[in-house]
Amino acid sequence: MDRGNVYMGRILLVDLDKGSCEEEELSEDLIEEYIGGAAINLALYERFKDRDPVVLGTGLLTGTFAPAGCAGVLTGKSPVTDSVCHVPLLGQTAVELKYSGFDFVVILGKSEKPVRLWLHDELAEVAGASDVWGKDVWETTDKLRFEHGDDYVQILCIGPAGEKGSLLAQVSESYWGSRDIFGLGASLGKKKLKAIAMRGLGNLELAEGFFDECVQLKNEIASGRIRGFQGLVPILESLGADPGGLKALEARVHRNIASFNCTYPYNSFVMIEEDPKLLKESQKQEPGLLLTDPAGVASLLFLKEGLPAVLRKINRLGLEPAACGRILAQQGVSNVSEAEKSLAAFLVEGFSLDGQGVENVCGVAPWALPVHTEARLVQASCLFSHSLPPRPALGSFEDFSVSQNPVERARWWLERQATCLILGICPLSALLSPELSLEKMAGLAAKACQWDSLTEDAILGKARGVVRKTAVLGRPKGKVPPAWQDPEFESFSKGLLQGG
Amino acid sequence: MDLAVESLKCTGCRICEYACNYHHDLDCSAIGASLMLHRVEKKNYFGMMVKGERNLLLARPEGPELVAPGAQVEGAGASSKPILMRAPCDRCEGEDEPFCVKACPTGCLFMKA
Repeated sequence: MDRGNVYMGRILLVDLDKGSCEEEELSEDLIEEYIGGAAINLALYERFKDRDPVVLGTGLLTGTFAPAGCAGVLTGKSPVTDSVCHVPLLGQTAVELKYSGFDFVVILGKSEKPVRLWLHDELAEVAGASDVWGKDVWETTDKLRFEHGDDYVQILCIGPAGEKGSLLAQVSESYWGSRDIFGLGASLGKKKLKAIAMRGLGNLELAEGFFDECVQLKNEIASGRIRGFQGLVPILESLGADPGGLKALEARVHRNIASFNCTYPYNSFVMIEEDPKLLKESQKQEPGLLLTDPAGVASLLFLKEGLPAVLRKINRLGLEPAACGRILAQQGVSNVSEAEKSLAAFLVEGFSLDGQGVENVCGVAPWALPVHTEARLVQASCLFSHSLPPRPALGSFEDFSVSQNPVERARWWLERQATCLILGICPLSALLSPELSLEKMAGLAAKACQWDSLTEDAILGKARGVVRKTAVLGRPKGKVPPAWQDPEFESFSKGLLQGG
Repeated sequence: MDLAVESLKCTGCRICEYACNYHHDLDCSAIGASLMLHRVEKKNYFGMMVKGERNLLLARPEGPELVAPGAQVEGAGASSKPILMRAPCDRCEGEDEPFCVKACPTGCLFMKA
């Protein structure tokens, strides 16, 4: 295996109790045993589980030419469900992390004072964060980028919600929120870790022929299921979102943005205080926001024209949008100023969905659009973020040749998430494009690092291992919505995590 | 034939930078590329910059602009500096098609007579 084609070869252990960092080699043995991403995260989590670890990891193909190779993964114990969860990182964060010289970062213990981490050029530094503690997500991102003198520094940070310990707190990827529906923002707040800033100027080696194979798969994806679509609106439309709310949103869409090396641009920028048709650079500093989260947008659609401004506030505060949407709807909030007043009350220690009189799955906001049993099963497992969404989009299960059995479908979804998060392939792209098959992903993974025995079966085996082990590490403490509770659902749920 | 950019087709995925670097340095990175995405993230204003042998192509959304070395450019942030130190685009001499064109998922980069 050629490790240098896929990984930098470095694990960083950050001891917040001492304010120090230590490096370890990412050995070929560890890669051979776990492959990468979520599987290595889980191994590191188990190794350090007495020190409340939050593990930030990159996949085997993260940051390579492999189509949709943008993904990283955060693994930790959710303060909401009290069980171990995996949250995908999309956008540019994971790519920047790998090229900064670190494949995995294990955050241990708790700092007494607010701190931040700066990763660049194979160097890691824990620094004081009193200058950004108290600032919102956007102010923090701006300040750290300014300080490091580079607009391309990527930031993982928390806002006031995480600092105060609200269970609706989300870790944010730069300005635009994340798929963290499990309250890991509150975990970082408890550790007094305000931000991780990353800049990657490193390089990976490249196997002969890998580039051309990646281009070929990219072309198949581009001319496949996604052809003719762009942005977040078609995704939500295909999942049954309210056409009225979507129409209001579509009217504000400026341009769609792809995460790193993703063929389908699923992020949509919406203008708030600017003409969406503007081509020149706006004279306003903050004219709109990038929508990155299908679940959050789906949950806030009832606000119609008010959605972008409310979501911008939610992102700035570092709150989880889907959960906020549930509560705002329950409160009968109908405009931006009412919403802003309500959101302020969410920023208190221990604030959670449970107790607000709204439907929740073990304390987490359920997917806001209509779903069948299989999507309820994956949500009830609380293993992976279901904000992606919890089922294929633009197309159907049939496009992926998955049987009609709900348990089989739910298992397929879990295993596809685990596979993507081991390999570093965007799990949302993998729900849009059947062309991104396990066979193709395995072929690219084996080619990338000249690892002949890295077969489909080997990867699927590790993915199943991640699902099983994560489930064994803790069962979510909360309950599923009463409407889901029946003996059949319970037996399906047990079968899902015991079988396979 | 020269490299052209249809800026409004760009979705900012950045794989062209890595593809270009692969041509120059035979590895996977973005630091040696002749082209780079200039992005003012909070305004969603973005376009490609391509370093040519005698000029710099600024493929702005509102229309392309060719600037000479040393010219003052409106709106250039800290992130636009590094490209001036890089190797110019040679249209991947010796290859059937430039790597950035091959890798681009939207057809935003193409060859034009």
